[in-house]
Amino acid sequence: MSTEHGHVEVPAYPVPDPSQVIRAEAPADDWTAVRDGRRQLRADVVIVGTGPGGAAAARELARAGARVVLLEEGPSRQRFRPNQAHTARYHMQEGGLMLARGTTGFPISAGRGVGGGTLINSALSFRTPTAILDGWADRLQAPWWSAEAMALVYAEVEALSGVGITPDAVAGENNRLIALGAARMGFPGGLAPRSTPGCRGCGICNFGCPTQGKASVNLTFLPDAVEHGALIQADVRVTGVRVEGGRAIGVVGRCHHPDTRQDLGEVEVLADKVVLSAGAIGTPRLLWACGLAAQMGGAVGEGLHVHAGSAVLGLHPHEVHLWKGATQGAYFHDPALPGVLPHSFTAPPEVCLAALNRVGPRLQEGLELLPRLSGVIVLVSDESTGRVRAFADGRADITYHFGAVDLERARLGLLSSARVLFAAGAESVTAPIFGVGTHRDVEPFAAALDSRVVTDYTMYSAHPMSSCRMGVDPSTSVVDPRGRSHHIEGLYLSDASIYPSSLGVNPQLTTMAAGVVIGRAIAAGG
Amino acid sequence: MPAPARPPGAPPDGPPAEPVLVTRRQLLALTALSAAAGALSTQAGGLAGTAISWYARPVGVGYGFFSNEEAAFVRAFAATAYPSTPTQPFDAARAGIDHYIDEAMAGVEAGVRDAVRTLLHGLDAWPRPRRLYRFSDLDEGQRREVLDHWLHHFSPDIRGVAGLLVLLAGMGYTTHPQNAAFFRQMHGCAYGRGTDA
Repeated sequence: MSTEHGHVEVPAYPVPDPSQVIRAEAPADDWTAVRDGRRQLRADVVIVGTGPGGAAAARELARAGARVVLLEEGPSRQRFRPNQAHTARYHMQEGGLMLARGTTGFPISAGRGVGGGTLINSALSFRTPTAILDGWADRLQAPWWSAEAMALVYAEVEALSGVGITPDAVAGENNRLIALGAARMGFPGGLAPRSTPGCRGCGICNFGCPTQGKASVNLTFLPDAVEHGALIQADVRVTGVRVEGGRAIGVVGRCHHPDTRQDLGEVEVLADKVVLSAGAIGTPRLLWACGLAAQMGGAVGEGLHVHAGSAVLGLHPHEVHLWKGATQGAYFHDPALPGVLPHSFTAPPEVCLAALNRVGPRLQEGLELLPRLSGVIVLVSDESTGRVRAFADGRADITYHFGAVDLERARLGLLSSARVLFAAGAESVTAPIFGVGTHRDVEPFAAALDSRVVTDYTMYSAHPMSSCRMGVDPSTSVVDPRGRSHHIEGLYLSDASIYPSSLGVNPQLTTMAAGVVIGRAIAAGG
Repeated sequence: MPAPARPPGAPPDGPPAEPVLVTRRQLLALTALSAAAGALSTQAGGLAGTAISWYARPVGVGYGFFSNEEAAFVRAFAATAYPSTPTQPFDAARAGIDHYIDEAMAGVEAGVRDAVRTLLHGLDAWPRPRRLYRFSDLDEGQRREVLDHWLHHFSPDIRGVAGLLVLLAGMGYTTHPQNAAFFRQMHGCAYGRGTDA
């Protein structure tokens, strides 16, 4: 069960110096390195995935002297174009087509490309709350996961990622209003910690950073890993883990052209140790697709958490331009709602028009509203769970059942967010929830929400986790507290799939920290 | 660089003879595109340099995925969702949204493309029992009524599908050069600066 929740805690940060954090993009081999339809490599450790978990583990291992090869499904370099469409094609797993089915359908996004999810996230950098980490340490009998022990690791990755509080100069009006409203409500919060030391306030981190101001791991951990001998091969989707005599000995995958998806041949990496860091969807999907899950107990793909959330939009008397300024640069929490983390909503105009249903005869009204919109998205640390399997064609098969408890917490979070927006001066609020309407006070908004069911909500998730959990019992978990498979020697996991419970905060910082912990454990012979 | 598997202008696959039953699974498959509306529309960018830009193509020819009938439905749908307004007189009817989505479909996995095609036919045929005509053959007023009906339908799947098409059409509408300048005022790092437009 994942019933523990905690409040977000934000330490004091120095102002980061981007020149000390952001480096040249990590060099990576692309599809052209796969000549004559095949490439074979030998390594001490092969890592599948170059997101925060894989990159942090790679850096630790390479620095310890291991020969490291990383395989990445997406392209070798950032293919930034300020267009959500382009992002989905090149930098989202399965082209952004992953959908959870269950009590309601909603999309789940996960990144790809050298840098993984850090290429397209909002760079929010919260530590996992103390209550949750200490709960893990107790249950796992693993003191290195305690908040006190992890604080040291967090401090390292925060420094490497240039984490700092969003500066006023790039915050933008939407973030300013949310911080103001939270302060007026007496809610803890304000401008948020983000790993964007060179931020210029473009507001499109989730499309990719146009200015290289975001410290995505392709600009931080991975260049360091490559400097210490690591090799990155992009454009390769791993399809199998080679196992002999109960021991992982490497992986095999298919190389494809990043533009046409044309199959260009096989890539095989033989290694003493295999680390899966394909994310909480990609890792269990791979294990099921290649037939290994059945050998690993019953927990592969089980217990998926997603942080599914919805949003509240406010309408103000003045222009806000919620797309200008740091992406999701403000947050707050209602002390009565542990595990519910509202933060700024950032989405392009056409998404807002669709969410507001201001099209057709109401398009002009929508166009006039756009500049005055503010927004808050409500992240719920979910107790509900889902599972991940693989379709026959290798795509992820995801089911998720949104429970009544989480729906109620989402509803309460939306109400807190509406109060914050009114406190910040909003004239009215609405939500992308069928039948809710627009309201000039909280009470009628609350009454409108009362009658809504889960299928009325427009849900979205970008934080899959906990689908291959750490634990001490091999029958209910996939890896031990050092990330080692219970069942297959030489196989490790280092990504958000290992979390024993929902974090309640944006996961990138914890996934980096976990990568450091697991990378060091492997390097130490664990 | 290898050529795209299906270049623009290639003959489209034939549509089903009749609209077929739309299952919840197919609806969900299409709804999934809301996260990946981009994957669809990026094809416009991916093919840039190899063909005329989507917004510059003539109406009714050069589709890689759509049949003319399907393209006509998409044009009708987009024009209904994004009509000319005092602020933005350039409406979606002239924006080439059919080409925008058509190019996008080249990058979508086969199963989803099949679902999209089925759903387009299903939606186009929706008004027939009551109004005798397909959506694309209705007049503007009737189309507005039908779109409004879909967007407020009791079924979340129908709302989801219609909302998704609104979103997809909106991506083309907002990135078209005629409209990008307006949206760039609000989103300075995006529209009109190195975008598909």
